[in-house]
Amino acid sequence: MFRKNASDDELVQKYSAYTFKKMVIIFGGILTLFLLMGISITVGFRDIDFFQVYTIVFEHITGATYEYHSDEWWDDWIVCNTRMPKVVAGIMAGIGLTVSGAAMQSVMKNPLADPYTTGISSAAVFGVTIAMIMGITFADINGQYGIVFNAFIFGMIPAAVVMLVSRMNSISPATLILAGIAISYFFSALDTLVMTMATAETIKSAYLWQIGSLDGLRWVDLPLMTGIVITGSIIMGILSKKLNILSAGDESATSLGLNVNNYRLLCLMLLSLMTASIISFTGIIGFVGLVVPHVCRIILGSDNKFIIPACAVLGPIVILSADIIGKVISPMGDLPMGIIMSFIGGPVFLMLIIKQRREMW
Amino acid sequence: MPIEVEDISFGYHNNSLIIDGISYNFQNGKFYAILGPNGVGKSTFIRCINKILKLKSGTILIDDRNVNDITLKEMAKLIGYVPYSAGDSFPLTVVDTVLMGRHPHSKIGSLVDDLKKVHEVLEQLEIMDLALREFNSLSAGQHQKVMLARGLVQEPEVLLLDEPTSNLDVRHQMEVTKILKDLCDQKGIMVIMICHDLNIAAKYADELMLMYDKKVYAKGTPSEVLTPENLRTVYGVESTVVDHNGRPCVILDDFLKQS
Amino acid sequence: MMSADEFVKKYLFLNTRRLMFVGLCAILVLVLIILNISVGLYDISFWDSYRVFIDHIMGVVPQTLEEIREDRIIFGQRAPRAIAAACVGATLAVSGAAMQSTLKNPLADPYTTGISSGASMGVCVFVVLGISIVPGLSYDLGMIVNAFLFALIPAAAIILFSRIFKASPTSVILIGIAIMYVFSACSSLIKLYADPDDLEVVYRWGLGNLGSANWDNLIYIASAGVISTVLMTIISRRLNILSMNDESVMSLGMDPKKERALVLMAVSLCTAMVVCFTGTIGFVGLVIPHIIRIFMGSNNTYLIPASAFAGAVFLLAADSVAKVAGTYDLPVGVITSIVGGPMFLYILIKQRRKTW
Repeated sequence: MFRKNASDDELVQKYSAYTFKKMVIIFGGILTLFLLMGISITVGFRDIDFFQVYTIVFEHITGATYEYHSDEWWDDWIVCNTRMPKVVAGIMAGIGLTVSGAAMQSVMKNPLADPYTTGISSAAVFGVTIAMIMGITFADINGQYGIVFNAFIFGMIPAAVVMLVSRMNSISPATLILAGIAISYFFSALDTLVMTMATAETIKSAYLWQIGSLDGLRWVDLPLMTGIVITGSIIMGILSKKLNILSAGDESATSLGLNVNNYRLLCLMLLSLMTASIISFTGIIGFVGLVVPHVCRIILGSDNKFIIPACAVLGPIVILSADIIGKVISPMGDLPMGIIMSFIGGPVFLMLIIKQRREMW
Repeated sequence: MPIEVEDISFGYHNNSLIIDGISYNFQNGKFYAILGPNGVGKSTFIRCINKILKLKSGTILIDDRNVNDITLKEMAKLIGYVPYSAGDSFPLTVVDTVLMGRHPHSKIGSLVDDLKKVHEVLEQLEIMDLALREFNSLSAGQHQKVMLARGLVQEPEVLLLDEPTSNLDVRHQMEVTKILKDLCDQKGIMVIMICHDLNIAAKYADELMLMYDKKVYAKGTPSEVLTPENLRTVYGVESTVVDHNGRPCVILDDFLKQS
Repeated sequence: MMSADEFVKKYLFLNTRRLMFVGLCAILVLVLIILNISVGLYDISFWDSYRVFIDHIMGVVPQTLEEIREDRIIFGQRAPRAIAAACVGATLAVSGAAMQSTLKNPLADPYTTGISSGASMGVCVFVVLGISIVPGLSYDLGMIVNAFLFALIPAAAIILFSRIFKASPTSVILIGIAIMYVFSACSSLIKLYADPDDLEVVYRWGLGNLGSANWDNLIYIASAGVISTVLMTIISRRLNILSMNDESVMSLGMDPKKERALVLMAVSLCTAMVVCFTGTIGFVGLVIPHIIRIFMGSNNTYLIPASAFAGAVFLLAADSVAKVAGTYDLPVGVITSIVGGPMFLYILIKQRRKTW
């Protein structure tokens, strides 16, 4: 009979210490996030005191009401109706995009993959352009919701195509990526085609939609995005162990009981849904989906069990920080977060790549 | 072309050393087998010889020339390296893969001569029937033979081989090792081979180098090195060594629990 | 049992088939050049175009008004554009093939060293901010020079970083991405505060079109095409070796990091030379090599020339369509993607051989 001896305990101890360290880091991240939420709400056109923010939110939740149009009423309204939704949206975007990015990189086994690798962004942009220029939408609702709806539906087309393609032939990740690129180019070109019929003004509005930003989001915009992102991330978190197995190679994975093709498709579908639901509202937020997973891997190693939660924490941190910096630099609030993230994040990412010696890929 | 290794050490990036203070003299035309437990630094050691890895300290002299003075291209003409694996599979045919080994020697218009050399080696290793197959469609054992072919085609004076037979069946193991032995005897090529099979090493090698704990633990003829005491210390196995046709033959009895 | 001679003969025979494919593509290029020349707003038939073209080369002087006009259109306008299309297509396809081998990644293309983001920023800086690196040039030339010089900045940065920090191919790609993000951000920033007309100019530049080719700048475009194709074919065996793991490369006598940097430099220069005139024409550099691989395998000695000719053919065809289809003078990049995308997808699905 086997009996536990000293070295078994030692191993368990060491592994616990190893995971403990990572949990601490993630927990620290959550605290930072909480702080950032507060800061994000504080900064803006109308200054609201930092600690007051938390009080206002608390009181709002506990059902306080104020005299209409009084100072407190305005504070409450600004915090809870304009800034909170943006913060929540930012968090959801951060979670959704980074988790999708991490999953995509594992599924495609390529460090260059990001949530848009299957062509979602190009298709969504095309949907938006059609809506703006030709007024063609899938819904009868015109204006704001027509655009969102179009972006979402069109955004899911590449995912559907890629899934169909991989059903016909079980193809390798590299081929899937190439298929995604072909689709991306295709929609991009269609978009360009439609744009040639557009005026300079429309080009500018289409371009502005495209730049990822949290502006103008209200509570009504959130349920779809929040629901999908939270469900998707939780499912992805549960499946994270299987993601690890996938990186061992198709044959090893199959021999360990994983249905590789189905699993890949499931992941693709989940992350396409998450990504499409986010970008329909926020525009294309680049950078985070690609870079944050890499940063997490540098800090925490390549175990998806930790990467997924870590991304879910670091992603929102990055997005909220970028948003805060943007608002500080330009109080009018018209500096899009995508630009800031690239400006600051680019060099930071570069330094990290250079610093790390270990081959993590 | 003798190789003198003087007190060399190697480690990655200021980490602990992988090999520490190894000295050895390799002589012309002999067959050397390097043995030792997993992870002791055998692959690291041979990769220091042909400059794939840069030494932390110590010197290596190849034919009385310091290794640092020899360019990679010259090295490729002198030393053929047969790695354990080819890395990422690359969609080339076997012929094209082996043909790559002619790179240090090939000039414009030498294609026909190169091909003839490839043909000779493919026949020698009995893989002619694989010639037009794609490299990634081969089994692991076939991979190893192709890698060996690539090394042989370099017409080197020294062959460094990292476990060239570990994926081959017994017959092919013997066959490949015999081919190496013949090259050694007939063409005077020095063979330095990392091997896990103690008996194959014992049967064919002239000298054995047994590594342990980052250093050379024992060296000499097979009979001198393969003793039950050495095997107990280095590998942690209980064994009996008998003599067969003048060469030692190791029979494993038991293995020891790790302390 | 095959004798050595039989073996050699068989190998050469198999490669002859590949050579024939390359030759076929080369012939197609010539045919398509004439086709491209014959297409346009002013109707000239295929054979007439051929005749006019040859006449001009032979030194025959056009007599009638009709002939003079035809000669001017064909030789003055369309011929340079057609030749440019061939050269640009060749450069992009060859660069793509070289990048994919060197960086061992099927996603690599000529713009992986950041050329497109750099050139884009150069154009933004010029058009919107009015800053030109080389002062005193005409508007068109200034934009081109800016695009060229700016295109090389990210490439130089990437190559320098990779050399100094001895980066693996994957790290090279990641470094490239980081630098590209910074440049893209700068461009976006500039574009944000631009007025719509400037923005439109920048936007249309970015789509890629061959309209700006003329006999003066053709020399640059053509040299990029010829140099890249010839150079890469000459080093094709080295490219083959580079696609193996680093220790195998070293054991065959090549320094992988140095060679990689050299290839990146050559590719960047040729691509920048082309991009500054035509804008970023996507798709060709990434996909043409893959399509050729499906037919011919990955041996660069045949892959490179075949890609060059196939790239030329593809771009010539796309440009012909662009000229016909639009009173808008459609950017050729649009055609390459709309047609090429589904076509590539179809081939990906149908192919049996695993090419990667």
